[in-house]
Amino acid sequence: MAIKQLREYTVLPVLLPGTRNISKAWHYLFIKKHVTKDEAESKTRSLFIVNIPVGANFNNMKRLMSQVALGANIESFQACEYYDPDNVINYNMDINLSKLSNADFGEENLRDNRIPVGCGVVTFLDRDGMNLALSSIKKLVMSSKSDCKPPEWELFTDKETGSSRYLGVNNRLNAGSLSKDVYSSMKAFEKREHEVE
Amino acid sequence: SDGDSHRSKQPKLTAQDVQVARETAELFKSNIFKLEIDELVHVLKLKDSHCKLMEKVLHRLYDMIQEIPASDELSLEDANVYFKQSATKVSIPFPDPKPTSLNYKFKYETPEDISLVGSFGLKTGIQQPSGMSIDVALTMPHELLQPKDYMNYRALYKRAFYLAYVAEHLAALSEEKHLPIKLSYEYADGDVLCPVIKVQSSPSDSPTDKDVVFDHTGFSIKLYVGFPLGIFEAKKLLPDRNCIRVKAEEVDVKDLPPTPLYNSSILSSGSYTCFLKYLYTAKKTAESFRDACVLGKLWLKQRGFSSDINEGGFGHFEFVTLMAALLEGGGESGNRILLHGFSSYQMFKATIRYLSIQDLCSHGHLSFSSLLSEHRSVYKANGFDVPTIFDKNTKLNILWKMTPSSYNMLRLYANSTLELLNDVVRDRFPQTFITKANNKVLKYDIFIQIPLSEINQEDSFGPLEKISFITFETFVCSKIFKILSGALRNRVTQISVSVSSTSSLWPIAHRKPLLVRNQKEKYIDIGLSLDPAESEKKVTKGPLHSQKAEGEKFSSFWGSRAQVRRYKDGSIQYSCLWTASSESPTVTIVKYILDLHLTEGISSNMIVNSSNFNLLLPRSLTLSTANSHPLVMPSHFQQLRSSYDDLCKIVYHMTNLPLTVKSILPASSALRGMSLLLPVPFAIANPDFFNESIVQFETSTRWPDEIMALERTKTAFLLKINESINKHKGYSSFLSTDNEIPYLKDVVTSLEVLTPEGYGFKFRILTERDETLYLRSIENADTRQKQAVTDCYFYFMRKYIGCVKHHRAFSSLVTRYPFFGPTVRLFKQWLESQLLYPHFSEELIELIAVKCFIDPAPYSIPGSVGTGFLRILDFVSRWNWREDALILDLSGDSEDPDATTGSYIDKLSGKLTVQEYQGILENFKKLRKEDPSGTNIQFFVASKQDPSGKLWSCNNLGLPIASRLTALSKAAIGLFTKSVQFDSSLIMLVFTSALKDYDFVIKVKAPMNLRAKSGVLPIQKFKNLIRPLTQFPGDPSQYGDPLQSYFAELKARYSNVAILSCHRYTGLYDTKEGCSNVITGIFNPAVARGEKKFRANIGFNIKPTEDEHVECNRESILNQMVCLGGDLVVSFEKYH
Repeated sequence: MAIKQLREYTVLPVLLPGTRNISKAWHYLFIKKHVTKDEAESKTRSLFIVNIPVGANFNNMKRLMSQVALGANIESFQACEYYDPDNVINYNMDINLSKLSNADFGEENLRDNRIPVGCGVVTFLDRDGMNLALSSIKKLVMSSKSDCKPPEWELFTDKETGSSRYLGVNNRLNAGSLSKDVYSSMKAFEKREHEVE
Repeated sequence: SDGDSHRSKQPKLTAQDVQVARETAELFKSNIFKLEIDELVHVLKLKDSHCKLMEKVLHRLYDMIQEIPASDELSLEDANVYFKQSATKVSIPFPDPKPTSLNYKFKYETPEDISLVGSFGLKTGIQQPSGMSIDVALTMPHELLQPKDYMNYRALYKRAFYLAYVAEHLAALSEEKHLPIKLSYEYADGDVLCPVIKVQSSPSDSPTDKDVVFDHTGFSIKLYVGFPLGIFEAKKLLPDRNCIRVKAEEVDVKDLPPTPLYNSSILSSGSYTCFLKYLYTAKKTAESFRDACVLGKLWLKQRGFSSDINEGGFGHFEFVTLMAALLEGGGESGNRILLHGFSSYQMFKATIRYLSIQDLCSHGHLSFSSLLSEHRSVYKANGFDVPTIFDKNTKLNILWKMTPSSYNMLRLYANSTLELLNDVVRDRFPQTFITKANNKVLKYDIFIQIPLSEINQEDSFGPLEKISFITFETFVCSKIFKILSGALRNRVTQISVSVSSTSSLWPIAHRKPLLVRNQKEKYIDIGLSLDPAESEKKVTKGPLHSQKAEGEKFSSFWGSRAQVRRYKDGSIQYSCLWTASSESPTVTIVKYILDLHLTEGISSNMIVNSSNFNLLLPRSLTLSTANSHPLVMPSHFQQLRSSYDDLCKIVYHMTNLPLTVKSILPASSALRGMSLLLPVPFAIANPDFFNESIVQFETSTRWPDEIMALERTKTAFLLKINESINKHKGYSSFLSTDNEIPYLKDVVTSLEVLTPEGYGFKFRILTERDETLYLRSIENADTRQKQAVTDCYFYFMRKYIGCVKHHRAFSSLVTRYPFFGPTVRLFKQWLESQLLYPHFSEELIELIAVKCFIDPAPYSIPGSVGTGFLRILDFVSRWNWREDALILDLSGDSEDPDATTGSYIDKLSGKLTVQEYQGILENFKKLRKEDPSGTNIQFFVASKQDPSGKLWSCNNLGLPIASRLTALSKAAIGLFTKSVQFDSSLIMLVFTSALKDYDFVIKVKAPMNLRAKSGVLPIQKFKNLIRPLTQFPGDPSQYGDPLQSYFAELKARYSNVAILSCHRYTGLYDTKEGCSNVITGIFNPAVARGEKKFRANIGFNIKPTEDEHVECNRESILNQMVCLGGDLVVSFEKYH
């Protein structure tokens, strides 16, 4: 695989571990500096990652970074995973049923992070950490040495898969905390209602 | 009074309106029909080039016959010697009994007449895949026959010689005359007394230019040899006369039984040219006669009817003769049923109507005359208990080849066709003429085969039986029919008994058809159509105990099974009791009574197809109670219902709610008796364990005017109900997130309740504001958003409104059609076995299945699970969903249209009206205009409840799954209809999924046995080791099926990349090692194939390609899928 850069993204291949039923597989992360309206390139301390593996979280991102750039400490990781049992949700647009059902006192945007589907944002403690991580990744990718051990991406721990994950899955809610949530959000709704009036 | 005058005015107006509407609808319908008929008649027209060629062939054949020299007068011995010495080995096709010595001579002279008879002569022939036949009648000269020859087979023996002589000479002349042909014998319409010569083209290996070859036309020619009209005194051949004198012990000649089959055969052979003239004249007088003949022929053919004795004995000739007779009268006062100016549609319909309403068997008959000068036919009110259309001229009953059984069948078909033709709402052309309805396994509710070789009845087939029934097969069929009619009575609407394979052609070197190599290949086919309201009854009631004579008769008929019983109402009656098992009591009775009266032990040789299907339904952990019917409506459903009713009572009476509960409406397949698994208490691993309902409160203006706040208010109500239920002893409940509606994740909640009886229920709340808010959202959405928000609305409609309407309609249908419930369950079982179940909503499955019950044409309503299931498969396999909408009338008003007020418009009030139907059709047209290949919506299934037709099929299914359903049903129905006997390996084949069709398969296994936990009976265990479940586990981790949760997560994460399937009911698939299931996948080609442009939000797992694009990273996806399954995964297989 010769592609190391795709547009402004660095392509980082990571190795997914195999199981007794399936062999290891290459997975590709597309990485660049995270730039937003509020955060210019000169200020950002986050990396934007396209094509995150299933269940990507702070822990396995941290583990990855520790393999490629020791010393680049991450502060947080946010992601938007595709999750749509009926394949109906359009992740490319924001749909706020609350606002649509009542433009005046509907709730504000429900999706607090505006990360595109399948992508993640890893934020480092500081800009140096971020720069270190990115340059290490670039170095790793550009080096043609084959003896270089590829970084591994650990998908899950055993406790996160199989029967541990799927036994007794249910959506049961705790009546007490649910009751509190309903109360507070109804209060907020009433407030919005009053404001409009 | 005012009121009275008002009332008297009202109906008059309505009647007029109705009349106008009716005429308009009729006219409209008949116009559409006319177009379709014209098209059909055109398509079926014989090719001109073929007809021209055949005319040439016929001329040549005619010349050859003219050249056949007269023979000497030959004795039987001379004749035998003559044929033995001839170069062509020809046998004389003597009927049984073969003559040994005769005191009269045989002779051949040129026929006194050679005529084209049959449909080719009438120019009513149509193209048929099995080939077309041209009938030519040769009339023996007067001089060869004596007036007394009608007796004792004499005419038949002379005719047999005549036929053999013709065959011998044709064979010799064929080369010389350049007409290479092959000759065989065949029985005319299955009549073993009347052999004919079949002439087929047989091109030689070294053809010459002069050879006329016609094998490519599909035509063959049949040479009939007839007797001159009037040579025998027809009166002596009336159906009640004996014309075969035999010696039988203790029977005087006077008391010999009549020989109607023999008599009619002779009369029929003497009337070929007479009927030709009669029909030809009828055709000349009525312009549409020819087309109507074609329609009749096709109608009969699709239903398996023909003039052949073994195919009902009613075919083209009988239909056409009936039409001709009806042109000259046919009414009770001789009034004309058909008018000469009728269109072909009107002519066909009036004939069908006549067949439907006039009883030509027990209560009356039609009398007509084939004499051209005597234009009169009358319906006479006395019947002969045999189907009768009597020609006064030839004294022939043209229905002589029918039996009361086949007549009954014909009438049933006429009835149902008349209903179709009276349908003013939709076009019934395909069901009337196009759909084939003559497959035995689809046609009957129960189909039984008995090997003919196993029936020891030769002893009772004595000389008298031989002359009455002519063949052993006819005798046995008649006997079985009689026994079954006596035993089954109103359990059946139709009994058909026939011989399976009837050999047709045989070489002219043999006297009669060669015996089938193995007699075992010949079967008696018994087809039963059941009355579902009667067929499953476990008691056969006889006369009262006080009726001694009838009682004795009853006892002697039923043998040891007869007993005297006292009933609840105090009556004491002779009765027979039958046990309920997986087999219908009707089958039990057939087995018992044929063992008793036909051949002892014959039941062990019977092949009964229907029972095998009943065994396929999942068996439940707990037994059905004795007084319920284990097949039609097992007690499990009633127990669930009663627990539900108790719970509803509690909710209705709650006092702690700000609003009172107005309604609790069920929407659960188990609550309507249609779930695949039977509901079993505490069976928490059953995926359908929680039965859903919709709760509505009294009207209020205070519901929030915003969707999230409204949902939270509902949650507040559910919390109140929850609190209250938990206070009831034995009940427990909890709230859950209910992620049914996209974009409202984690907002909507539902309440799940466990009852002391061990069942689970789930409540959702519907308010009068919901729909408004969804509709407003659609309105407020911008063009880009509109589709997504409309989808939300559909999800809401399904889960809150559609499902309730559906439940209501189907609970009444399930009671109206006793076999609907179990049939749907079996259909679900099949979908489940084929991994299709998760792609369909229960509602969609039930809607597709109900078609064969509410709109069964051309069949009748299924009366057994097997037949219902096969008809559903048959329908699905033929449903061209790209071009045809499935429009259902769920109102199910089953009353006869004409029976009520004489107008169907009145009756349509509760039913789908023409306007509604047309509206739905418009919706379909619009939909297909936007989506012609059905990429978005495949199945358009509409009813009054859902005129959009897409409520249950949008965002569902998908093109590959819809196509797979069609393909699989085609394969299954192909297997079933080809092989009449369904052994277990065949059924297994149909109920096993072909895993190699998928791109990949993940085999999975649950860590615990889910069979019992789902309420399914464990396999291969001693009954006394089976313990019913008695309580709910305290640990919630014991609930549900982990494999389904795994499947659900894979679906949620990869539904855009691959179509994933899984058995929904893991409990049904356990192996020795525990429960096992599979998750199969097919990559979505639009995503998984080819290069894409890189986008950050591309939405699926990608890898870079050499030319700066990306493509789907299947390896990584599969790795992640398998990884998620962890220890649940047994193996992984990649096939493509």
